[in-house]
Amino acid sequence: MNGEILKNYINGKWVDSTTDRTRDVINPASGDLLAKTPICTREEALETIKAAKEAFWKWRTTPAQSRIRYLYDFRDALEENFDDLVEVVTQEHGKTLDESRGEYRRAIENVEAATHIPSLQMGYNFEEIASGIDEMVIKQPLGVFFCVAPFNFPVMVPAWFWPYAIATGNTYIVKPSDQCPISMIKQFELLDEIGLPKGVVNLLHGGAEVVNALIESPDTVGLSFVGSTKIGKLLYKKCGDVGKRVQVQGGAKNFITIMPDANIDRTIPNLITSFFGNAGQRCLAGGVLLTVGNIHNPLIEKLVEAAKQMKIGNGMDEDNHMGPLASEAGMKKVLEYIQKGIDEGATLILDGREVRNEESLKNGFYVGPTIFKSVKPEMSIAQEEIFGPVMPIVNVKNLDEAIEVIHDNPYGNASSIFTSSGKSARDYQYRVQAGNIGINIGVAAPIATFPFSGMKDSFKGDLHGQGKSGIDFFTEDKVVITRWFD
Amino acid sequence: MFLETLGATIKFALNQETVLLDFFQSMQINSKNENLKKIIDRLYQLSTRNLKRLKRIRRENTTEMILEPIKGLEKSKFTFDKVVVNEISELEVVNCLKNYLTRIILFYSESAEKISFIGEVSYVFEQFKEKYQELLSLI
Repeated sequence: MNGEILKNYINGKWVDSTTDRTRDVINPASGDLLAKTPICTREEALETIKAAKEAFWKWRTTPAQSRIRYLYDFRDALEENFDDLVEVVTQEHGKTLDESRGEYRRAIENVEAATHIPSLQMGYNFEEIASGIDEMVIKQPLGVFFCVAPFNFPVMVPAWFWPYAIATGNTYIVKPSDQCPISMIKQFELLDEIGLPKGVVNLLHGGAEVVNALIESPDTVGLSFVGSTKIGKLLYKKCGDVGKRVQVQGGAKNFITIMPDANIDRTIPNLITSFFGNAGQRCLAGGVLLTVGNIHNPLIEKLVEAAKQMKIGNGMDEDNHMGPLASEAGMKKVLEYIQKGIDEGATLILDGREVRNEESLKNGFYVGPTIFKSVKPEMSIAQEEIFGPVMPIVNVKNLDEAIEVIHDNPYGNASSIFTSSGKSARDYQYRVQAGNIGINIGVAAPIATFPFSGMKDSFKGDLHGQGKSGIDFFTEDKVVITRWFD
Repeated sequence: MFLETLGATIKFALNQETVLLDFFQSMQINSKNENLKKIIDRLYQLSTRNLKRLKRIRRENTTEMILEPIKGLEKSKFTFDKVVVNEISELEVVNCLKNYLTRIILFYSESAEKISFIGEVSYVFEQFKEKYQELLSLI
């Protein structure tokens, strides 16, 4: 990629966009231009919808066993090209190679899970619901679905949706992140190679104009969105207005609670991964550390020491633990929050801004691990999603107070507790209003066969991505009641 | 210099196995001792399989959920340099072979323990260690 304008993949062909509006795709480790994303038009969106709609009936009437064979081929192609594919994610996003491998592995798991469709899409029946009458449920596909994907997991997040959608017999349009679109281009090159029928999956770049066209079209059925809560709520409302199915995975502020009986040495690596992994740009990343009682001081001491040991640098170097933020805007936002934390009276005990003085990191969007103590729950750094490697630490008296602080926050994506007490763990999973709960796990990421949950402002909709919820989202339950006369 | 990430550790293992493979290959050609040659053949096959398995575990077992930093794996303890076999005596070759195997066994043994948070990788490293130990005992 040398600054070229990326193409769309519509109706089985790579096509240039007609727009002259583009967004630069920048390697965040070096500041180099990689490519330009076309900000496509409404007309191009309508053309893509038309292709997906025309492909629907033929695909829908293709037996499921035949449909999933394409996914087996695609899975093999991903494995064969794995090493090259993960490098593309690292180059355009900045995450380390290990993190890109982890992301791709989860994407592949989703493709594999979607090959279980002949079992997962099975309906059910019951005979003799009345004399001589039987009843059944058939799970039928609906038409054209689409997703609007985020930059933080440019490969994995679309894979929560499109493999299940096409396996169940729908057709699909992926609108990748305009900031990190190249990984998705690489996947579509492989999809093109395996010979999936034209129009079944389509790739369309763009921004608000394209998304609005996809929502407003009477020929699309539903949207899967992962991104900010602000945009998510807007799209949720828009979809509601036009009667679209929708699943919106929004922002997060994930609280990690450390009980006095936690095993500190086992907990520290989990906290490092949770808060600083992927440079803090996960919707499951730790957002606030709640230390309960007197574990506060010994934990902080070891935590700061461990965070100082982290190597920051280009994700392509296997020795580095953390790469840059994915964009300059993201980096500036994190720097603003660090300043805000200081201004609001929190104590900065590890300053990630210092890495920016290193000569080798000057051209990239780097911020190192940052830790604040003496944080109050009402401070901005404890309330809002920073999406960067910042750990605000709030000390609370007991588990009840911890849960109170968690519930005062509008988000409810994930939350974890570290404890050696089964009772505390049980209380936590029972009471905490968050969709994904970790017990001695820093990143509570569900595998492909479980739904990726979320609550409160972190999720809008009824059915989550992945797992059985995903199958329900992409199908309609049709009830058939039968009676045969003599 | 320490190996502190899963990726760096597996990359190091791949490099060392590649050095071993080259060494075994050149010994297959140059060695005149038939008994040793048989062991070398087995080592060559083992190293070939290990390289494939290492690439596979790197693809399949890197799980973001448990990507924990690794501590205390000092690279220099396990490193060995490439030796040109036809420029040294058979005794030197055998010594070199023992040195290589001792170091790679030490590497797999220590790294299996350090990577115990990913059981599958740890298990594979343990297996590699045992296979090399078995063959070293025959030399």
